[in-house]
Amino acid sequence: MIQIIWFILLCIQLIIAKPFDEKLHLRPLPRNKLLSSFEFIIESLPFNLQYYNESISTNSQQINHYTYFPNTLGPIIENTNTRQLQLRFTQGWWDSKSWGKLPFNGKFSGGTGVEVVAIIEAPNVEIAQNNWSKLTKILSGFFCASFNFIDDDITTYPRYLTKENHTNYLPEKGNKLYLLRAALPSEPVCTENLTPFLKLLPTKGKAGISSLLDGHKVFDSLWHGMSIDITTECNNDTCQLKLHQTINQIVDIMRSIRKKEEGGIPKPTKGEKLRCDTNKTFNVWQCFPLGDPTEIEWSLETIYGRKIKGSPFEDDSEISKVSIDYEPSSWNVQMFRETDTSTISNTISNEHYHVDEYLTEQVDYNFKFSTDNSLNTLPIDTPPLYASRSLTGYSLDQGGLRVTFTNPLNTPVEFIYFESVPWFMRLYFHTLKLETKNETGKFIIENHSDYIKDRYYRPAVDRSRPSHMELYIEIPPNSSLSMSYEFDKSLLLYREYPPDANHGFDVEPAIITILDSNKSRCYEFRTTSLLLTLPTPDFSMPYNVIILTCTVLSLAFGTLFNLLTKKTVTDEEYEIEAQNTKFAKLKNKIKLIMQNIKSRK
Amino acid sequence: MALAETVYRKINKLGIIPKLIHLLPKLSFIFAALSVAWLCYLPLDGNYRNVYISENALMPAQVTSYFRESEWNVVRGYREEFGKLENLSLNERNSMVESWLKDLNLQVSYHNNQTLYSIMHAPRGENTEAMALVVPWFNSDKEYNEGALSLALALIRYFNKMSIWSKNIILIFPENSGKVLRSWVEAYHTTLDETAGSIEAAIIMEYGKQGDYFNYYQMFYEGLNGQLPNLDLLNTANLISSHEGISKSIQGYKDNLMNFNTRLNTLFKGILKLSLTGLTNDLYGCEAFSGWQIQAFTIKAVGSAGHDVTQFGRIVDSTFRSVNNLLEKFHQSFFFYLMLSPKNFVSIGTYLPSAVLLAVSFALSSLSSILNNIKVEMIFDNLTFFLNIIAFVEIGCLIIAFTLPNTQFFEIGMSLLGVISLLPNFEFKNNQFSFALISISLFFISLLITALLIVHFSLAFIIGLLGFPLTFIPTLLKQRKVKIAKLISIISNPFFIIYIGSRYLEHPEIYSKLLTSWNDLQCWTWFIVMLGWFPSWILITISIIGYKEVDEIKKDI
Repeated sequence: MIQIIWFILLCIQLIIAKPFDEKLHLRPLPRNKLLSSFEFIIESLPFNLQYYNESISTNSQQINHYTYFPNTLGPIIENTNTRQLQLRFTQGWWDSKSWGKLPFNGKFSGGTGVEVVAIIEAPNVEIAQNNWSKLTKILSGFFCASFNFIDDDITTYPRYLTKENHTNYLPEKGNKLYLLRAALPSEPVCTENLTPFLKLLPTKGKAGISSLLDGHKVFDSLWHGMSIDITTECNNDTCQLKLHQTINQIVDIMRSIRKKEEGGIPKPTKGEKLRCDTNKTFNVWQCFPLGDPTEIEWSLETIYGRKIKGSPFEDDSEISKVSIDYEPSSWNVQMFRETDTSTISNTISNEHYHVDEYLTEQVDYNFKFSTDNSLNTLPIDTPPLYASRSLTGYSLDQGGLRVTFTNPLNTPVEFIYFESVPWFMRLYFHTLKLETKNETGKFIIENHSDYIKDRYYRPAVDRSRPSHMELYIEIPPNSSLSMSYEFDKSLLLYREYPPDANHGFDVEPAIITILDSNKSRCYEFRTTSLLLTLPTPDFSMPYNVIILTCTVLSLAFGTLFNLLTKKTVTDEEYEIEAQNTKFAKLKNKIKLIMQNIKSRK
Repeated sequence: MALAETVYRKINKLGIIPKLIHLLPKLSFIFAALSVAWLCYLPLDGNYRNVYISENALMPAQVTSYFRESEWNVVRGYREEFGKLENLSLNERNSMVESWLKDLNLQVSYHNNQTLYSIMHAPRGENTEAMALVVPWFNSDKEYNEGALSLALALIRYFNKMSIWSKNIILIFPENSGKVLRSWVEAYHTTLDETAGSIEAAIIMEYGKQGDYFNYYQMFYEGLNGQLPNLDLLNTANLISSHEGISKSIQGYKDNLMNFNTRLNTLFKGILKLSLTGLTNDLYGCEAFSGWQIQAFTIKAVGSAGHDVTQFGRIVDSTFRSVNNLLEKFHQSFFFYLMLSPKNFVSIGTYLPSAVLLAVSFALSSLSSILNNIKVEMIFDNLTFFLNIIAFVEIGCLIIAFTLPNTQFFEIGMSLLGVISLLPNFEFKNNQFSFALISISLFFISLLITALLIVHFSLAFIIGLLGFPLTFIPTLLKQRKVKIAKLISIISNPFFIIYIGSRYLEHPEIYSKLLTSWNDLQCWTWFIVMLGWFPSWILITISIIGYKEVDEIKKDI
């Protein structure tokens, strides 16, 4: 009886909590770009979470069923005592001036390459490190990414970032929560990372909005980011694992249309199709090109080459949603519901610049966007801060790093600047220079504390940990701040160079976390990564060195050996000795014979 | 070791060393002659090498460039509009280009409110590497660079359509390819806010007003201070143009006719050009990128019939596609080479002996000056005297080297320098001082050549050649031909030679540019001349003046 009640309760809870939820958000941007974000939320059944201890084998597998939560991921999380995990796969450069703020206020967008952040429960830091190492190595195979290269020399323990990262999970008595972070900026993100991503979904990319996700299309964007977040949420005794997955991308609509019409090869436009400015000279031979057309029409199929294959589950209606933000005065959006036999289209009406459509039926869904003026889009949200980071200098033994922050708003902005650079960049903090620029001109700042309110710095240790810097910076309205400092480049050991040593070494992007007036995070973004050139030897050189060294050694040995073994004589003694050698005697004999022959003649 | 002993004994027995010491002046001359002969020998078949692509990733001319057909209409369209801008001010021209670039969805930045540049960020790119396409408004002939400007706009429009880029493309419009471009490059690596990562390669386009067709292109690649772009980059562009059937010229010699003479001329013109880069008014823009590990070259369209303008664009397109393929920096091929033709080159190992021979020649002459005329102990006895005089001359030169470029009357100043040093009249107490001082100076030049020969072979070779008459002076003094020695000393005054040379080469500006090139372009030739060549000349001149002609003769009688 109790069991039945328990089961009913569980079912009710399941229905209320909606263990799976997915959403596709589309937003046309200026200049014929499109921001599309896929969001998936999956929750596990509540269970009794315990600290996993390898030595006690009895509590190994507590549960073996997570409902929609992927069964493959659960044990990894539990066995490493990971309470929170964030994975970021990002490629490209976010053009904040044209595209505005990052989706989800940057919460799910990483920097170039991949990033891992985990909160691990452990009694001490060594065990946390062990679990971290175990976790990254398992994830490496799981996500086809080089997480296995995550080592102590790139792992950091962020400080300021921790403040809001905590889940409501309370560690067991005697344990602590450790936040570890590592980034691999040179990791290319590609289809092999998308496949495991899709496998985590209960729909496996076969139905619902995830059916749009085709590697060829997702990765042919201007910028794309994938994120996987696992959090532990606890309520009294039971805990739940929550999986939050997103894919965000900026699509160049014109390129998608062109690819659909003309194929992937950028062949020259046919003469009659050229869009020319007729106010200027225009004839068969000459054409002053106009910009992109503004009267365009496209659908999800143009961009993804597919349609949405119905709702994810037949029995569950309101879990899949497409929401669109657009300017209704010049855009018209139609929803198509297609089956093998019929196509039903209806125009979506929009009064609030935002519509939500639920995918409820087992039909193919397609959304068609048409506009008479694609330049008229919803205004982009200006991000609270712009940042650009670059390397300065040219020499192979030292260099500099320069970051410029620009506050475009009328209010001061406060943020945390997190930067971790590899140990082979030896930073000189005393060379830190600040320069500010506003309408009145440029000024060098002597008193750094006017801008840098607080700082945390943990210097690097060669080959075992990176340098780690967190600065709390405040920038006054409408001004920019340039921060620069210098560093020395180290010479690596022969075996420490990667196979493509002449490519240079990637330095991970810096994280900028903007704080609002309550000191809580309101926006987050990354600078670009950097490519650092280190002094790289010619790798055939060691052989030259070996050959030269051997020659010199053998010469030295020969001389020494001669000195030790031979008798020292004067020149005169030598002359006499020389006449008595066998060779000299032979020479004399021949001479004698020759003389005899001559004299006979 | 036994062999070395035998040889040593034989040398001792036959008394070769004293004979050799006696012959040193002649040996020195022979070495110098051999040095020149070595270079002349290089263009002979079998001594040079054919160019080849060393970096496999480049894969030049492997892609079909679609910059053709209707793209030509676009080039024509832009050209007419650019034609209208010629007589406007820089700001008006820039704002027009800015509006056109914004139509292409590109953002525009300025350096010093004058140099416009625009970054095309690679889709999904890491934003860490870039390629630069430079189009000066006025090319090296001071001609309005109409063709190149319209090509650049059409090209960037075409590049923007493709999603294959892994490196950003920077488009730069400096007023000319001289100081303005150099200052942009410097600012890019120090103060600019809008950057696109490290620049791997740069192409400077020059295409004047010849319209739709051109005959062939000239390639310029010499950088400042003896720096050259990686040979792979030049080869890539040249191979691509060969596939297009376009001929090219290096140092004024086209690739369709090649023989010993053209190769020899290309070689020597190349040496001269490399040592004079930055000192003449001929600035092609590739110099501006020197020193920042950026491989750069300039291509300039010549003639007005033959190939069409889009072919010129295709060279740039296809070269960028090749560079885009690179995973590593340019490092496979040669950084030190001398071109004999667009298809032949000699590498550093082959031409270096020439400069080494020249350095040896000076060293032998220096030895001869000591061994044939004085006792070596004498130098050590008067060491303070020598050190004082050398330090005095060097410090004097150092002060002049740093102050003169910042004064306004440097041309007069330089002319006076030569004269003043001949004025003083004094005598050393002993003629041995003269020989010792000459020996030290000649040895100094020898060291200078040795130090320079790898980094800047051309300059080392030319200084060695022009300073060579100085090696005759000890012999002339010994033979009491002091007047001829004085004459040689006047003739081989660095500034006299530079003055005559600049007139002869029809580049009279060399004289003044020598001083300003450090401040404008960071070309250090002035310091080499002022701290290496000139002080040695002064020391030798002092020795000639201090030489007691009459006394010695009397003593001998």
